Amino acid sequence: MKKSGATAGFQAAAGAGVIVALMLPFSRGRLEATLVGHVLVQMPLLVLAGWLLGSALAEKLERVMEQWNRFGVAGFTFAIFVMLFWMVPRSVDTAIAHTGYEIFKFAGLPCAGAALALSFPRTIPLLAGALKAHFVSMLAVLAWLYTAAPVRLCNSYLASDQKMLGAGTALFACAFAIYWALGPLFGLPKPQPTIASGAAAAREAPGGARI
Amino acid sequence: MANVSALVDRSTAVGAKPALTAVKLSMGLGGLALVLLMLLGLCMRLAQGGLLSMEPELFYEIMTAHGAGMVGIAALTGAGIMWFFLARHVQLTAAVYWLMLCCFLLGVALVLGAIFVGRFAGAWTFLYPLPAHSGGVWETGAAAVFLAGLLSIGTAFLLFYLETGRAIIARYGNLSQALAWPLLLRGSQDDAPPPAVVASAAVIVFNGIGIVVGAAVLAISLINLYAPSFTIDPLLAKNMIYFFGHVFINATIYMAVIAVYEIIPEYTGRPWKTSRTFAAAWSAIMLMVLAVYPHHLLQDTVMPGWALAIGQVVSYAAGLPVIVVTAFSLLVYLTRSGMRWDLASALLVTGVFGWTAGVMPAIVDAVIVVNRVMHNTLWVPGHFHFYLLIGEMAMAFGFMAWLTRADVPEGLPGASYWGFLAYLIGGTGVAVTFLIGGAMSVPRRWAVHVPEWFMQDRAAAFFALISIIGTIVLLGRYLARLAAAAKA
Ligand code: HEM
Ligand SMILES: [Cu+2]
Repeated sequence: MKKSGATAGFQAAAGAGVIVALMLPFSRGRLEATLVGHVLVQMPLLVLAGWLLGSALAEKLERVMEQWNRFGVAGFTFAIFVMLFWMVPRSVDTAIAHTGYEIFKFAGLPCAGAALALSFPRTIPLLAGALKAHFVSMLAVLAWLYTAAPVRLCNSYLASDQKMLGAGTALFACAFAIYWALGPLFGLPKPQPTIASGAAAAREAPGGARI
Repeated sequence: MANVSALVDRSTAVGAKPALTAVKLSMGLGGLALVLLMLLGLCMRLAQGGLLSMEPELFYEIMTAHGAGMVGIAALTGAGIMWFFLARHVQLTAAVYWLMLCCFLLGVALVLGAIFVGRFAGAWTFLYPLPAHSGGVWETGAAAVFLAGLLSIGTAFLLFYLETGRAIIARYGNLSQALAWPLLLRGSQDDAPPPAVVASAAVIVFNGIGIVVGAAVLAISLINLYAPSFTIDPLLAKNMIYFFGHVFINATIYMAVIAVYEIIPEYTGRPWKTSRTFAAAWSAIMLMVLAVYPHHLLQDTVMPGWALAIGQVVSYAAGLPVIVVTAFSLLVYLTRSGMRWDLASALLVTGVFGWTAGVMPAIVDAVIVVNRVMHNTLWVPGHFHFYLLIGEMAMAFGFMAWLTRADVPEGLPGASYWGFLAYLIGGTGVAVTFLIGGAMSVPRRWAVHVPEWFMQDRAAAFFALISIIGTIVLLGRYLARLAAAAKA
């Protein structure tokens, strides 16, 4: 399935635009003022921006991905590690205090998003489904973790912020669960790569094997 | 046993080998584990009846192994059935079944290690805060290994549902098509899915949700073991655990009944079709299975009243649709069909009626007024032994008998007949003695019983022995025939 150049251009512009908008001192200050704004708005938006950029580049990177990102394994591994890093309260805290961390965040999360965008279309449904199910239950666990934490976890944020973050994460978990359930329930049929057909299609046609 | 193998290897819709060996292996392993765990059940009954002296610690280890193991067996045999018949209609990837089996066995090893090496004895329901507060009976590590084992088993079934779901979507477009919603809403559907697909789709949806919730509460419990200051709201934990537990154990029968839909038509010569009622029943069940679990919390007075009211009301309703549709259709199909009885058909029909009968005491107990008296008495094991032993496992043995049937009508000759009868009478006896205990207000999960209760404990042990003999006959027949087919 070829994407028109216009779509790719639009996605790239939107992705870059979101990142720039998030970097502006005004929005940075506003969002990082609260834990919810920081973790549940800014960070997901950075990942989303990366996703848009990644989708825009998908066509160009087809060759490379073909060799280095079979079934999205490399991309997922990278994205998981970046997200694990930013799941730790200490990292969130340090991003406020140290510019180096902040820069790493603004670079790393979009890269994780791009990696996801370049990996989901090439993976097998089994892996994609397992990751999604895992993600939802991890969000639920995180929601509990932040709500149940007996101490303040961040120097820069209030303990009450943690409770709000917990509640927000629970909402996120529900939203993702519902969103991901709608596709299999009502979605339009899509061609699916399987282990066998995916590999075969990948061998035959560079640029194929996309869902 | 001539020509057993010819029938064992049946061609499928797509011709691919749908992990037939793995399914046969699952059923065999399930059968063997069943015999062992039934023996443990017998030991528990003997201990309660004062005929076998057993330390309470050991009793609870055995009870944990028996509960977790039986739930696992029911799930594995149900999954084997669902996989086998789904492969007739959609294209499944055999490797995923093997992967599922590996994760499952890894989980079993962890669970057994936690119980018999680590001495974990907190019951299969791992209800918070018991795993974390053993009173010195087991170490934190043992509880952690147990929870990790359950997580591994959960992962196994997650993979199973992802693959079966993927294959169904590849064939039918999406799950609402596979649930026959167009038929349900408009009265017609081109390419309407067969009952096996409708049932599978419903199970995938509700058990998928159940497993995700289960994984979350397992992970939370694990973290809490090592970081006790992160406390869990016990009521929330109980809600999540019983949601998961109720959905998971129910799914086992809803998977096993697929064997009835697919096999009975071979006997009656009348295809089992997806009707509008059938589709409605399965969709209703899909939603209600998720909504009825509060019937486990009827004595938790801190629960909101509306949740308990839902638990009670939906329990009446949830018991009914699929059972009524299945049992009623079965009767219609059977009447004047001139069906020949053999071991497979006898067990499958028994399964449907065992399931139906077993649900009745469950519905009774879900009435709040009754529950006030019956909660946590042996009435509870009474109903679930009924529909697991005479329902789910009977369907599983029916499937196994059918897998290994000969190509000439066999009827129900000597050994098969007596094995079947022993299984049926013994199993019913096990369930009914539990129900009697419940009616006498004997509490469930008590290692030590007072002499006034010994009568029903000992009667139960007697019936258990008979049912174990029956099981050994049925399993022996299956294994012997597989061995014969392998040699031929
Ligand atoms: C010979 C047959 C069996 C006997 C004698 C037996 C006996 C028992 C006994 C004595 C208990 C503990 C009751 C109490 O609370 O005091 C029990 C619990 C249980 N049994 Fe069985 N059982 C048998 C078969 C089965 C089968 C076939 C299944 C499922 C497929 C099963 C599933 C369970 C479960 C889930 C529990 C609950 C454990 C708990 O309370 O944590 N049993 N059984
Ligand atoms: Cu229940």
